[in-house]
Amino acid sequence: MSEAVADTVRDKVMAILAEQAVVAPGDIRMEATLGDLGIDSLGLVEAIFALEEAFDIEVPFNANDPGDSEFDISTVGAMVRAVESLIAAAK
Amino acid sequence: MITIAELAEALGAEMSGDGALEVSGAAEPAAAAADEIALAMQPAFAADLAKGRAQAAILWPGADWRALGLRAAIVAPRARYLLAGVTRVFERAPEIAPGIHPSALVDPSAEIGAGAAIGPYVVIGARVRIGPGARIFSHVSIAEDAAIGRDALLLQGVRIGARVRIGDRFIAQPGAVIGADGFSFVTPTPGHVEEARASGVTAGVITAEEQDAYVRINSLGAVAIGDDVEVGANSCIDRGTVADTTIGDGTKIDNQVQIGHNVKVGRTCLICGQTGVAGSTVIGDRVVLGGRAAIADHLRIGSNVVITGNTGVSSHVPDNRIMAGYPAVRLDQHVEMYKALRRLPRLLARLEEAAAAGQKAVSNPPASD
Repeated sequence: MSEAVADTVRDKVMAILAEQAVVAPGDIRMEATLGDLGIDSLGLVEAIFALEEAFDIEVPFNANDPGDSEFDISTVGAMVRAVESLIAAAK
Repeated sequence: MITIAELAEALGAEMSGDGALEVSGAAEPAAAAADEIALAMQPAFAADLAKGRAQAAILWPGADWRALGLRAAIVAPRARYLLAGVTRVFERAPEIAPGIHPSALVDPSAEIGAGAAIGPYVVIGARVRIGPGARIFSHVSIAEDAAIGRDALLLQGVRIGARVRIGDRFIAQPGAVIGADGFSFVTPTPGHVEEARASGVTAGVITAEEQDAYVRINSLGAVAIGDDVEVGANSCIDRGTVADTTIGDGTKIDNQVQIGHNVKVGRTCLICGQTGVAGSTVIGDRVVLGGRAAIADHLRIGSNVVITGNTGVSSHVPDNRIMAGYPAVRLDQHVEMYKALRRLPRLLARLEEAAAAGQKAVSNPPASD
């Protein structure tokens, strides 16, 4: 993945999470957890759907226990990497 | 004023620091005055403590009260439970003068227990029995033969219907109505509702062109409420047709809840605002009905069931289920269904793409064929 594409992925993921957290994208730190951002389980489900739609990917997640999914949601950075690898796998 | 040591003892909680420090009330951390105890039960409130002037706080386990600039602290292992104790200690009970106000109309045959306080314009009917320690605020009316246990708190404008029976420590918020008639009508020949039910899920229209007028079914039953029940403002519990509508011990009902005729609600249930329970439905123990839940008639809702907010229940629910959506399904199924629904537009787009590609393949066969 080129650097420019990686930047776009990161920016889009941050924009989607910012929308769910109702904060400015600039206020999202890569090491922040969803808890830090005040995104609860239903907010996470919405964020995952937004990621699926934005990147045309299918996120393997267990909506009833998101922590138990293959998709790493531990931090914003982890989610960016997880989305990158899903995009790479889809190609 | 109460000392921190006394407060900790009343709450059954651990304290540290200056136990002799006195406080007059509780407040949010940022707004606390110097003589108030700040309620900072989560680390998120740490920053707010500095904005207020509290010298003492109720803190989360593991908090460093000295580092937060406090003189004393009480530790809350379970914040909301401790909050209940705090609100008991600092409660500002609604004011009511002892005795019976001269403007109250109390039927001579009514029995009012010792220590009652009855406010202005209260009307108490014939043969009503009220246990000791009642606080009955202005404009409450209690109809004939109703019986209420000890330590009742009936706030302004509560209406208790005839023959309603209520246990001890009942609390009714303003405007609650216990014992209105059930919404029960019948037609001489089978009516639209019966036709709709008989056709099950197959028909979408009513075939009959006319329907006879509705005939009223009177409510002969009353309402029976257990001990320690609370009913919120403007909530209504209708009386039963023949037997009583019942509410079990310890059940708490929020504002603007409608409980239909013949409904039986179990013990320690929690029924949130704007919920409606239609007639003759039986609800088990410890059931939680989230806000605006709608429960159809003649259903059985098991014990320990949680109905999430805005859910519409149209069939029986076994014990221990969490239900969501309309028609209500298990929460995990509901989330899977929602997931599928959200993915549907992209799935359709892919199908259309595939179909378009397929058509192309048929109309332009490869040259090798």
